[in-house]
Amino acid sequence: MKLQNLTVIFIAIMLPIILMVSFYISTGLKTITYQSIYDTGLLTATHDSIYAFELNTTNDAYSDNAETKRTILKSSVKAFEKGLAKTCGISEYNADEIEKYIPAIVFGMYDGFYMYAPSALYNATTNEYEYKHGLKNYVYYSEELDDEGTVIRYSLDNYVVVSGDFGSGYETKEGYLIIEGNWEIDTNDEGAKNYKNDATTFTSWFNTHMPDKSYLKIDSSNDPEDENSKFVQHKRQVIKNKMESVLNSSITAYSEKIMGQNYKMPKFSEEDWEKVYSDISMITLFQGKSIGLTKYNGYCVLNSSNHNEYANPNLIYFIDADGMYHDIRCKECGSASSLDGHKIGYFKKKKIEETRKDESGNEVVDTNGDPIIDTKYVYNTDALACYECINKGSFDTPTSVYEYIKEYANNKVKKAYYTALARERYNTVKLLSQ
Amino acid sequence: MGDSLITIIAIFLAAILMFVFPLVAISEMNDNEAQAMVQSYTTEFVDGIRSKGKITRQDYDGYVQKLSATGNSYDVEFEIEIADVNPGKKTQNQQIGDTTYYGEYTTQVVNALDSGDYKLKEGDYVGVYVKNNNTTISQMLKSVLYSITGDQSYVISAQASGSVVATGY
Repeated sequence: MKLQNLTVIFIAIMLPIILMVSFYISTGLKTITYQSIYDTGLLTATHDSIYAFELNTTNDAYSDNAETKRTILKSSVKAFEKGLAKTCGISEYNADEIEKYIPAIVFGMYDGFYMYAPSALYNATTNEYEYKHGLKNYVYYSEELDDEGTVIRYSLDNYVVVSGDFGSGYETKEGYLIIEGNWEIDTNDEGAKNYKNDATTFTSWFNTHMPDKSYLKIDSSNDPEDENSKFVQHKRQVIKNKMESVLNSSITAYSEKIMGQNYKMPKFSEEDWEKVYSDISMITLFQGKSIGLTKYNGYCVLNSSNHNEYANPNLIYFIDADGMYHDIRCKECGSASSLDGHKIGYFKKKKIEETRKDESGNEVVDTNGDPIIDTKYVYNTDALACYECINKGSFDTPTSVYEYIKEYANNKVKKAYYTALARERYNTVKLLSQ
Repeated sequence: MGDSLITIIAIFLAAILMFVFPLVAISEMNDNEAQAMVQSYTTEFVDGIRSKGKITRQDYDGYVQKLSATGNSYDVEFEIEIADVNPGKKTQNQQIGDTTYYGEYTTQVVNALDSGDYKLKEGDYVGVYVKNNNTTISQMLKSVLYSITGDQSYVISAQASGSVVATGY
């Protein structure tokens, strides 16, 4: 055979192969591009949702109410779906269209979590089950301690609620667990004083009435404020198991009934779980959208710090005599003549709505006779953030707040810290007690 | 005669294999790079709007200039959703995410930029969508190879959106 013939045959074979490989590579590139776009979109949508939650809770005086909280969370879901729909080019006006790619959204709260996921609804007309997304009931971080029905509910900090028969019939008791000796507070601060007294009484009761388990014996070797203590380690395991099992069962049911595909729960990293343990969090799952060669399967875990849910011991800031506010580990705190501590939300701006009034104090109305409402943004304090610690996060002793207070802080700083934390905790509304 | 024909065919096919396909591959790579840059610029532009709470003429011009530097021309479209926090005037406690939004689009934004900044408030949504409106080399080559035509075809597109986190007025 001549060289020309061989060349033609070679090219005739190679050309389709090259075309196929080229098509495959180009589709692969598109898949990676979409993967990246959806990763960013999921992160942005989750951030928007958390931001909506923060905005709605801090600007709503009734956000501690359980029913209001559900409304706020539903609004956060809408914000998430809106953001995601824009990224994916899906119509945001038909919720079902985007929701079929959302197996679950979890809101990790102070003492439990909400899950937004599909539920089965029986349709008597079609004699079939239909699946509709909705906010499910609150699930507590709870654990049954013995066969007699003693139940403990944990929270993100050292607050617990226990239910059971402790000698005088079935009852529920609640309170903070503390090591009394650690808590040196300013006794002139009523809130802090009440917190310490209540917590000391409750801890003493707790130690004598709980089943004989090492992690429930609160003493200096098992400090519920220390993240390495048996109590905290066990509590974290309970939170993790509870979330994983509820999420897993929902995803499994959803995969089989709705999508007809075997989706699995993503394996969250320890870093992700750390976010869940440390503050209010949101876990969003987005699965099943076709992105070329495969289907997208992603999740996102984000924290919120600006909320009214609880006083995060790592996010208490202190105003000094010079009108600056600091992290407690800042070197400026050590030499400050006075320290007034508040949780982080205190330093954020708040929205207030005021009815406009004229010089005589009468309401100003518009042409329809409706009062004119002005929206204003206000701060609780004029204090400015310290450049070194708040803005740069630069500390001479780079340890956790817990370790810093225990090992390095002087007595004045310790006292300011515990007083502020105690007061903030005492003033935080607990859904558990409602 | 037969040999000459085969030789011509062989040269023609070899030319396609050696020149046209590499050219298509390189031009596609060029588009992919432009795509990545446009996406990055758009995300940066939108993030700036979200954190400032406003669209300024300077930011907009800078963004358009960066897009032009990729060697293509683009259509930039805005989609702004403004949270009507008090739509019925008497209805209070509208939640961000679940309130009424009304939209403003490219024309309104660009007109507003002629006389100053386009201001937003926290809770509003901003979306920027961009696609090329010129014909890139890869588009030209593909239209020859695969007979793809049409004014609506574009190969470089990017979008970024999100809620505004600061009030710009």
